[in-house]
Amino acid sequence: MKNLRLKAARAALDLSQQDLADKVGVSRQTINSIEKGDYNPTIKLCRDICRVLGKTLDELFWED
Amino acid sequence: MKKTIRRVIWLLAGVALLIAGILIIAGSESGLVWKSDWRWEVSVKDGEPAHKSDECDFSIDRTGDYILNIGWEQDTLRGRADSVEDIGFITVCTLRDDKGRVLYALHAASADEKLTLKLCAGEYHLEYMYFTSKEKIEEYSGTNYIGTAPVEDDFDGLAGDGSWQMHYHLNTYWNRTFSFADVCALYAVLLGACLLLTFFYGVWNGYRSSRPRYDERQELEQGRGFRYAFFCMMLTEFTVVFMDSVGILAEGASGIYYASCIFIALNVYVIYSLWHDCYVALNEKKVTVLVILAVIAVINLFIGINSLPSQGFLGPDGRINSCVLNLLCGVTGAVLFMAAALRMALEKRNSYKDAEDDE
Repeated sequence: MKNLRLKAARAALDLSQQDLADKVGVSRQTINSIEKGDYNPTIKLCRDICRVLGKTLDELFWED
Repeated sequence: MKKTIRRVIWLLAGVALLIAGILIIAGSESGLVWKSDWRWEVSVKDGEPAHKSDECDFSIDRTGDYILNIGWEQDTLRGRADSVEDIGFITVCTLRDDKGRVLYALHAASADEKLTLKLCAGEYHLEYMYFTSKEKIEEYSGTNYIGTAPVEDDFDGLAGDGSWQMHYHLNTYWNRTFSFADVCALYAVLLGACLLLTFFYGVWNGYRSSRPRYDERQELEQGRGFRYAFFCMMLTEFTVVFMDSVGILAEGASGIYYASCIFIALNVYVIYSLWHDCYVALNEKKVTVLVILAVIAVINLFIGINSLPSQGFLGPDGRINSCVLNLLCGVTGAVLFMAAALRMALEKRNSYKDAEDDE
């Protein structure tokens, strides 16, 4: 399941996948896999992404 | 945190140096290890001692330089109102080891001697012999070493009867003096140990900071890659074993196939990792990986192809030659290089595509 909210939050801050990956400390492919829904990140990585994008876990990763 | 650890190391080094210095200074003084005194009574009748010798044994615990204070002195004189200068006989002292070998000897010419001897740990024997004439001493020295100083005493001081208590003593000091070079060497060793410790700590830190870093997804994918490679190797190995047992493989060439299994598994792992973007670490450059793979391929192919005509696939004992391994390495490197180059080209295209999607 694609994570469009993550992609939208990233785009809102005008960050590319590579920019977000660099800030979080992972590879671009990992961010790409999360957005595509191919990879379920650990809670630690979710928190790091939320911290960089200024969002909560619920806002980015909680399924409605 | 690193600074704190480094400070602690240097603090420990400083404390160690201080303690070593104190120990060296304390140890540089000669320490009294052993001391013994004897009081033997020598009776004289008609100018002749009633007995010819006295002896004692002593032991030393550890090997080293020992200062021996050895000698005798007239303690009391019985039967006479005044003391005499000459007691009428000469004393010969001989120090022997436990095998009876003479280590040192002296006679009356040096009644109190201080000398430094290197003594091993062990048992020693000290003997005093009494002579009343020069001739008797010379007779004795014909078979026993006494000393180099000539005997010039005439022994005419006392000819009457009497009993003298002689005080014989042997003081043994362990000479623990350290030379300046010893102290320097000790400090050098301690300093070297501290520098080595700091050096290895630095190397460890450098290794930790430069070792490949992978994110959680990459580590997960690497685990899968290992698993697939392992199963692939097992499968190929079983296949080779089966083919070998039914005689399909050329006789003596099975080693090549067994070695090939390992290289196939290696290919599976690396290609899987490349395809899942988990082969190149976060702190590595993709170009570097490409160059390394190309160099491995070129060098091994060059060596393998060059030595194959002269060596052949198999040696005279039926084992595969090293050029076969070079060829396998070269082929593996070439395959991996092509896979990596292809994957990087695709990755470049995907990143453009993702960027366009973002827009």
